[in-house]
Amino acid sequence: MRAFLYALVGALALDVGACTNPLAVDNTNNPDRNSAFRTATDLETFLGSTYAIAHSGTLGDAKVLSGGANDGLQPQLITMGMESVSGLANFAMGPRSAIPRNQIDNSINGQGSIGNLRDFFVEHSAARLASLALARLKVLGSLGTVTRDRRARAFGKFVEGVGLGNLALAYDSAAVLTEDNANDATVPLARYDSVMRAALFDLDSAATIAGMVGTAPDGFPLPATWINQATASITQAQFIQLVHSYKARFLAGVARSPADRANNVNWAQVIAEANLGITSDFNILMSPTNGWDVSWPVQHYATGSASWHQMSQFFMGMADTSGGYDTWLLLAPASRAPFLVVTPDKRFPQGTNRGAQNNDSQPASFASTRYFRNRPPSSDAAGDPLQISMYDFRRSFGFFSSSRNGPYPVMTAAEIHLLNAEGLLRQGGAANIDSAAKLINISRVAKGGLPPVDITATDTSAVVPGGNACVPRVPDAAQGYRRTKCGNMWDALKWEYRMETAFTGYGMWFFAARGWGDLPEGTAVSWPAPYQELQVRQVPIYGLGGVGLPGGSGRGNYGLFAGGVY
Amino acid sequence: MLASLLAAAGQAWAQDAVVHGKVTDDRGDALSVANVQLVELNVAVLTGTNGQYTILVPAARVSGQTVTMRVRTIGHKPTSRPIVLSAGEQTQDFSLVTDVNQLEAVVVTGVQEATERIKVPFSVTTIDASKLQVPAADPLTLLQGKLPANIVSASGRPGAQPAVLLRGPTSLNAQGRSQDPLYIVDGVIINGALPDLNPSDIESVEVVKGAAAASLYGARGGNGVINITTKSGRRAAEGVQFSVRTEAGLSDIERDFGIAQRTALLMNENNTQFCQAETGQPLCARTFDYTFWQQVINNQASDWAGTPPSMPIDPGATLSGGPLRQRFQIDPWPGQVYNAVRQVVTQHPYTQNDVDMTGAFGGTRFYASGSNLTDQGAIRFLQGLQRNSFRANVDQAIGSDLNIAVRTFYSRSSQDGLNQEGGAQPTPGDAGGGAFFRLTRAPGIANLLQYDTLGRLFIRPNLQQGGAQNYNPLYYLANVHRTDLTKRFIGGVTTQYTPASWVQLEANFSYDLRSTGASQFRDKGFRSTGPNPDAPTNLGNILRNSTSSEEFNTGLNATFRHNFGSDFQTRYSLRYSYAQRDSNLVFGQGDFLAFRGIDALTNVTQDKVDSSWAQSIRQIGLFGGANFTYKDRYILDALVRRDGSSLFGPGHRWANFGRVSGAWRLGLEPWWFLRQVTEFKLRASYGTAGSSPGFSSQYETFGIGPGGIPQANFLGNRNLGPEVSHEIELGADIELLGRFGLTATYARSRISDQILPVPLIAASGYQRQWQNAGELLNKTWELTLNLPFVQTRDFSWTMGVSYDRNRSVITKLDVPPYLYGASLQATDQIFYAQEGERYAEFYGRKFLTGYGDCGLLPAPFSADCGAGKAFQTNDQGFLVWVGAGNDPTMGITHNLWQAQLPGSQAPWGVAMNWGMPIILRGDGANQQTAKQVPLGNALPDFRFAITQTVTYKRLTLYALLDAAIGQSVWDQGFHWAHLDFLSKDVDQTGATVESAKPIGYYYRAAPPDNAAGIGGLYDILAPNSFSVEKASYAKLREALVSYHIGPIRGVGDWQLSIVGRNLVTFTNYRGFDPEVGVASGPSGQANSAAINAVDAFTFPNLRTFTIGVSTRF
Repeated sequence: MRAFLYALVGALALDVGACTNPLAVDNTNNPDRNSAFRTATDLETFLGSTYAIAHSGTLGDAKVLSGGANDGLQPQLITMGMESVSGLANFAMGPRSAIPRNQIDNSINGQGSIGNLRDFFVEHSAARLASLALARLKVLGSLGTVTRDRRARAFGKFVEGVGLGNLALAYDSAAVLTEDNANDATVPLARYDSVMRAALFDLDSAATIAGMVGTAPDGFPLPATWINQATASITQAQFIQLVHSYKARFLAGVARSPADRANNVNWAQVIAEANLGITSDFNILMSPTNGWDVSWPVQHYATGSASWHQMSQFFMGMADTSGGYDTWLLLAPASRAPFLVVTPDKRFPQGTNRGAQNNDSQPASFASTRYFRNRPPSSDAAGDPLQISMYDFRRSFGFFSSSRNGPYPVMTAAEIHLLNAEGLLRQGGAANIDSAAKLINISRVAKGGLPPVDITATDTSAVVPGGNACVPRVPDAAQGYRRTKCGNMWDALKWEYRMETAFTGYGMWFFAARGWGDLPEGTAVSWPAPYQELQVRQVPIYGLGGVGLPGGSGRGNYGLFAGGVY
Repeated sequence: MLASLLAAAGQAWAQDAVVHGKVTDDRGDALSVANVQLVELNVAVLTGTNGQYTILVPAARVSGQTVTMRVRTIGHKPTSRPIVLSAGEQTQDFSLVTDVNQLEAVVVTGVQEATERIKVPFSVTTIDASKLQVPAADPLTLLQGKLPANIVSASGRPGAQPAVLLRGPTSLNAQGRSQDPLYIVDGVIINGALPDLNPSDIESVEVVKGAAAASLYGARGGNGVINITTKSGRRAAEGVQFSVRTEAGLSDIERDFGIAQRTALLMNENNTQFCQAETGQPLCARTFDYTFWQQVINNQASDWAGTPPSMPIDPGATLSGGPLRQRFQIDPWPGQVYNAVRQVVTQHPYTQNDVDMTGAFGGTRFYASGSNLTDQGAIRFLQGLQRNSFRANVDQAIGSDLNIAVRTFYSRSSQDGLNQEGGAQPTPGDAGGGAFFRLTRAPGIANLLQYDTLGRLFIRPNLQQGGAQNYNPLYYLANVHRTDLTKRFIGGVTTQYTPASWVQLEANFSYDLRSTGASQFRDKGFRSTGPNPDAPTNLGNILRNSTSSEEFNTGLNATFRHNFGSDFQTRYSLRYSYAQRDSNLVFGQGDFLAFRGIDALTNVTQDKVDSSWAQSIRQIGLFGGANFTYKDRYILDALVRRDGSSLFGPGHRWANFGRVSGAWRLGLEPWWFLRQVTEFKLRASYGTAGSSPGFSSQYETFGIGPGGIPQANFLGNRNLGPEVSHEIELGADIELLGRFGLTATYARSRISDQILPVPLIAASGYQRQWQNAGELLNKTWELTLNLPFVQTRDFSWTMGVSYDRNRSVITKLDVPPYLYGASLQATDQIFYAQEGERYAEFYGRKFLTGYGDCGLLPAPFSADCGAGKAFQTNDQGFLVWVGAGNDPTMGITHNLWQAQLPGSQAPWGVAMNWGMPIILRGDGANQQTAKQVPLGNALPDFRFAITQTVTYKRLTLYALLDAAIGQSVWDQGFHWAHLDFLSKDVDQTGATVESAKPIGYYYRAAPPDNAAGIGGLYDILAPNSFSVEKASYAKLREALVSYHIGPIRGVGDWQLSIVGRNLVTFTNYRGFDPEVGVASGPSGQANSAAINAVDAFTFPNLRTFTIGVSTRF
């Protein structure tokens, strides 16, 4: 009996000891909104982390959403834009890059549906979390000083703008999120151009507010972790340049067709933004374990084989001066095989046979040439004859080899000044063309070692110099796209753009190519809002793209259509 | 003791009453430790080892009155008779009939207090040690085939625990939770898993399956309960008895995977040299020797392999174009050919040693045991599982009204981690070595056991392009050292106080501590497949993972009895319980080691990842119940339970559960006319029980990603409540001729308030929120037969049969239809959830099969389908396009394999290749989109098991055949190996010119558009009608031949046995083992390997032969 009583008392004591609301247990693993926003410092820290989410929504995995690395649009974008070639079904690269192009059917469990949702959600989430923080800042009144408030507001508007802008680039519709609808989860979907207008407005606000921010300790440079850098080195001027650069990218990239890009893009504004934009590459210090990542190298270099990626023979061939490209174009599509690109362009491995090119030096970093390698034949991979090649993008190999740690450009200065150049070409006139040529020649000469395009040209049809050794050579419509001719100023611009932006930002070749008309016919020019979103909103699921179907691009330049080069 | 009693009796013989006698069973064998009781006097003794007993009643209590003598012991039907108690000596012998159907056995699970099974108004399955004849490494494996339930050994990896679905799945989404039942050991609610337990300690197992029986366990009982009672000294005779058992044998893997043994690589005319690709040169301008190049690229001092020559048509790569329809995989490899499976799988020892001690000294009764298990598995270079465990169980009686039971257990086990299973693409820090993935990608010419001159296994014996990722599976196993160490302590104290015959009080306290530590080390110098250095791989990796979880349970019970006359017994129970589980995890890993051979996290220089996590769960239960029995044949039972849980949202902190059940023993009715039916009980029960949300589901928090970046993936829900299972159970327990037993049960369970991650619109910033948003309906039939055909002294033959059939249907879904599954690559969207759909229904793409599918072709093609028409079935049953005037045998003879039907002339506008399987299309708005159709269900149509036990004198033969019928498995290993043309069916050995098929038939045979699915059984990564296959099987799961030797030279009681486990599998399944599934991991949705029936490179079950010797003394 005594033992029983002891046990009873013991049990009761244990229970009573736990009786201070025993069922209320805190989650000490994750912060709720109160603790995340509790103090000015906490709120600022929260806001300062939101650009990482926006970045992650485009290039980086870093586990922002369940799903493997590369479960985003980027692998699809780069294959659809022929920036990369892979026939693998993984990450929907094969289906998206198939020629003739298929529709993005947006079906439940359709290929790529995880990636489609991922970017859509993550970019919305970045914008929403930034707007939540900005709304909280309004309630809080101040972070302590006016400078600090402005820095936070500038950064928050910047993230809102980047998030919405990325959505407007990729999707046909998205929700426009602001701090005024921060607690309203029923924001309707708006068309991409409306979303882009909102994004540009946010970026305008960011630039304006940033211009009013003072310097340290509360102002610029930005804290190092906000846009990951080795030190707190992003100055006020650099931040404002970055905002303007995003504006230039978004203004030009949002166009869905050549007509749209030609007629509806405010090129004067693009030029103005570009002139205020970055003058050197915008690098982020990648560190996957700290949430900053560029995920596609995970797979692209995973196996050493080119199954996962290789450069497009169709575009690489434009550098060839040996006649191999012409020969290749003349072949029946199914008979084409990768050929040796012999070119003066120093971004390519040099040599007149494969062994020599194999032995050409490989780049140690992103900054150095060559950009591409001619891979060992044993690493060749089969695929669509129009697209496969013996060339791999190599600038990022060092980055990959260091587990994706280190600086990586997510926006190049070349991108911005070439957008500037495009604006100038579109505006026409000798002076503008002269200015454009100078911009084109920056990388053409310094990186490619190619002769400068003619800065005295009076129209854009002027061909690039070099005679038979001209670069680029492009399929000639007059010859049924089965033979080449020297490209003109436009072709030189696009060549530089492709060379200098490859694998740098978000779908660089794709977003440009849809406005240039360089996508293979039927390529979807927008992603539909993910079926999961449509289901929740209880609206019909729809697909986009495919030859002759809604949302599909028209016949591609350079013969990218059935009966052209394929 | 007997001597002292007799001495005392001698002195008081004249006045006292002495009753003595012998208790035997129905074969005449003495029954020891039988309880002999004079009911009215509350006097009881136990029989000795010879079955003898003596009861001495003092003269003061002897008056010539009539009293009831009652005798009972486990496994026999109790008996009683009136005797006249008078001074002097009398003999009363008893013979107890074997209770072959255990109707009189006492059950303790789900009931308010210990109750004879025949009086329990719902289904409780009892399995005592006598039915556990073949020892197993873990308790759940021991239960397979012993009861109607879906217990699946989805992985044969030593230490892996089977997945259990007692009555079908209960949660549509068990992410972060479990579909497993609640496990209780000696009253201790077990903290997660059971595999640390020593099955040899088990005395009996009781199983209650659904809410109708498990309501007593409230919010933790929704998946049923498995209650294990370990051995104790409660029924031990005075003194000590020792038992020793040792078992030793070998394990291997029964079946082969079936890797292609032929090649489609281009060779010279003599088939001795392989063609080498040379830019600008003809296909075979230069040749090379494969084995020579294996040496060249592997036998290098560098940490990476060299560059092999390229081959012009390399099926190891992603091949396309003409070769797909021109090449036939018919050429034997030159030189020696190896069977990769037989190189990876090897026989390893299995040993188990048990020693225990049982005894009693006065009021102290005890059981203590020690055990050592070595289960090395069957994979070369791996050590499997080693476990040492100790148990001490003590029961102490203090006076006649107080009992204290103490249970303690400690085990320490080490396991060689996850090196053999896991993802197809292990990253540097990934524990999954993917050995079974790479095993499916090893061509016959690859010698996996070849070493270079530096003593290293060849990293890349496969020269093909795919060989870069499909490196030698043994290399990883030999060079990544991973050990998972688990320490477990379970202890409990139960105190019972019976101050009066009408009341019993009980208090219990239990504690369960489980700590695990994982240590993984890959040293600098680990080789990669080249041709360049791969720093994260070459420079090493270290991982540490430590978890600790402890659970406290306390409970206070009070039971009151009151009888209204002799016919109407009533009981009332009250209970209070409190449980608390605290868990934490610490994790760290990194790459790029600074120093070779140093296995400490301080040695990593890059990719450092560390994390920690902690949680506390608290639950309070309040319970009240009543039980009424009238004339032993009308039984009514009711209880209510109110549970509070910290897992419920603060807006829904408490939930109510309850049960009403009744039984009617018709066989006891005076009017019962079927005398052959000696027991006939009908029972009905309705009850509710629950399943709690995961820890984090209620909290409206942000996640913290790498670098402290907030994540807004899941929005918590403060109003989240438990899933509630509402079950009606109807059944009958029948016994014929006092021997043959039949139990039949039908259960209908509606599991409401399914906890689902409901999608939110992206504008909310959060992806999903946990909500109670669905309903599942389970209908289950269960049947058990116990058929003791012959029961004589020298010969007996008993057959047992169990059968169960479950259907689980989604009846309500407050979220849009969605796909779900496990969390490995390509397995997360394999089932489709929509209202009216069966749970675990595979969805994927379908190849048209048979003329019955002609109608699925769009018009006008459907009319051109049939014998002699443009679309015909081939010899494998697939509908293929052959064109007018042709038939599927003409591919080679008429050079048709390269013929194509242009998209403009083909169904759905998609080009077709001649003779290739056709994917069904026409989904949604886009006619070209492949349709997603149901492909089969992962859960079996039904299961059955048959046991046969035959004894002849000292010889016993026992066998258990366990079967699952009608379930489908996505044979992902077989499916994906088609990518490298390494599944056995790609080989065309034995094919004729009429039946042979090119390699594109098995992979893809795309025209220039390169679209997946245009011919080719591989198609895409996801399930299709070719790779999801029926995987019915029957396994000879247990077999035993034992011989009872008896004492040797007067010492001990020896027994010799030969044991076999998983000896034979009867199946048409194409993979290793049809008993397979993916344990989901934390982000898997179905979260049970019994549901995720995917053969994703999983360790097959082990076949084991052992010889055992045991004795007792």
